[in-house]
Amino acid sequence: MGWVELGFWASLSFLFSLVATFYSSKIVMSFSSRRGMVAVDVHKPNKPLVPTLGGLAILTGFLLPVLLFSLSNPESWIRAIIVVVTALLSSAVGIYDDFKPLKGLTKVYLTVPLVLPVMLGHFLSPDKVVIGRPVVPLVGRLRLTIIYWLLLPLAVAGPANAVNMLEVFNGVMPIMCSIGLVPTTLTALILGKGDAVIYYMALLGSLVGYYPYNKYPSRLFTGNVGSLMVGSVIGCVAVLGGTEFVTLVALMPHLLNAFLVISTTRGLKERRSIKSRPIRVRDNGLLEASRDPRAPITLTRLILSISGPMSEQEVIRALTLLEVVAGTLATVSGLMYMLGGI
Amino acid sequence: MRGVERVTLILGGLLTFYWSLLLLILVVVNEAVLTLPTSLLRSLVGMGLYVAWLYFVYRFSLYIFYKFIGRS
Repeated sequence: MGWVELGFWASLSFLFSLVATFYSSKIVMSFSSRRGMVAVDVHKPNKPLVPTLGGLAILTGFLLPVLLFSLSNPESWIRAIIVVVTALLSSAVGIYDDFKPLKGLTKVYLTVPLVLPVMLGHFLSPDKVVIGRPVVPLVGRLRLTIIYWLLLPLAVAGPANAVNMLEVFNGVMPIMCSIGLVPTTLTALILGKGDAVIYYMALLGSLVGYYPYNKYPSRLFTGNVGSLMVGSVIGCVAVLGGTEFVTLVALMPHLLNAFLVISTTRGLKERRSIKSRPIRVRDNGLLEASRDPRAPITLTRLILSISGPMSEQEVIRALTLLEVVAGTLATVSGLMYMLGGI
Repeated sequence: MRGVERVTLILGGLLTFYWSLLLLILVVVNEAVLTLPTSLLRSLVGMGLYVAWLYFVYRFSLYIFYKFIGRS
């Protein structure tokens, strides 16, 4: 694919998904309100009810340009099918979880097989779905013949659950994932993975189109349907585009949060099943870190223990700035690929 | 210093530190570990270094957390 064609498709994917998500979010918001599909915004003193399932709008906005691109570029259809199937399967797990909450471990078990479309695609068409030689900065392509395949099941389940676990404040998921998608898109461009650039741009457009509804104070919640889908697509495209390392760096705040939660709750537990909350809301609306030793350690609790009590907007700003740091490190990592002779 | 700036400085510094350490391990693996004689030995030592990095990240993050939760 030439630069002009890539530029055209990347811009089209971004704009198409942005507009489609923006308008479908309105429809989802009104549908969820009418059907009583609402969730409590626990970080507000008056505990308002907010319509949920906003992830369906992200999914719609993402799928349309990806399908359009695959129809116009038959040589990349198998990779597009992999991305579409992964997005649909992860959304199915998410929507089930939204209606009937799954246990933490069950959710992980259900997200591990989401890597199967990638593996199947590789076995059916190894020349079009090339995986197994991740690129890292300074060094270049790694020789991980066996270990890569052992770690592959975590490539989609890891980001899916990590994004899901940090989706705790208004607007945090779309803003953090959008910032994280900038270095991954840039790296895919450096590596010459044209269709990965298009998938990333479609996802970025979706998240930007969705943000006005989810930003503080939220009018629409993403739900597990959205956070699991966004994380899965990030992981899936990272494997297809060879941007695994940059994705790992870009998602460092998410992964650090997941790592702290898993280690301090002694296993994978669904957040709704954890009795002692990591943060508490004061009467004046400020958030503070729990001093209960049984409460799990989360990134937000860590932030609040460093800063002292803060408003929800300040916590969102702190998380955004942390993602800017991670995004900058990921961008530097991507630029360093060139030093590794890629 | 205000809360948000303080958090960004401390945790941003922490992320940068973890990232630098990971790059250092990548270089060590490429320059030293990949010259080891057998594939099994290379895999074991290489993976050992990455696991050690992960364990360090975990322990050091907990250390930072308890340091600040004790003060607040």
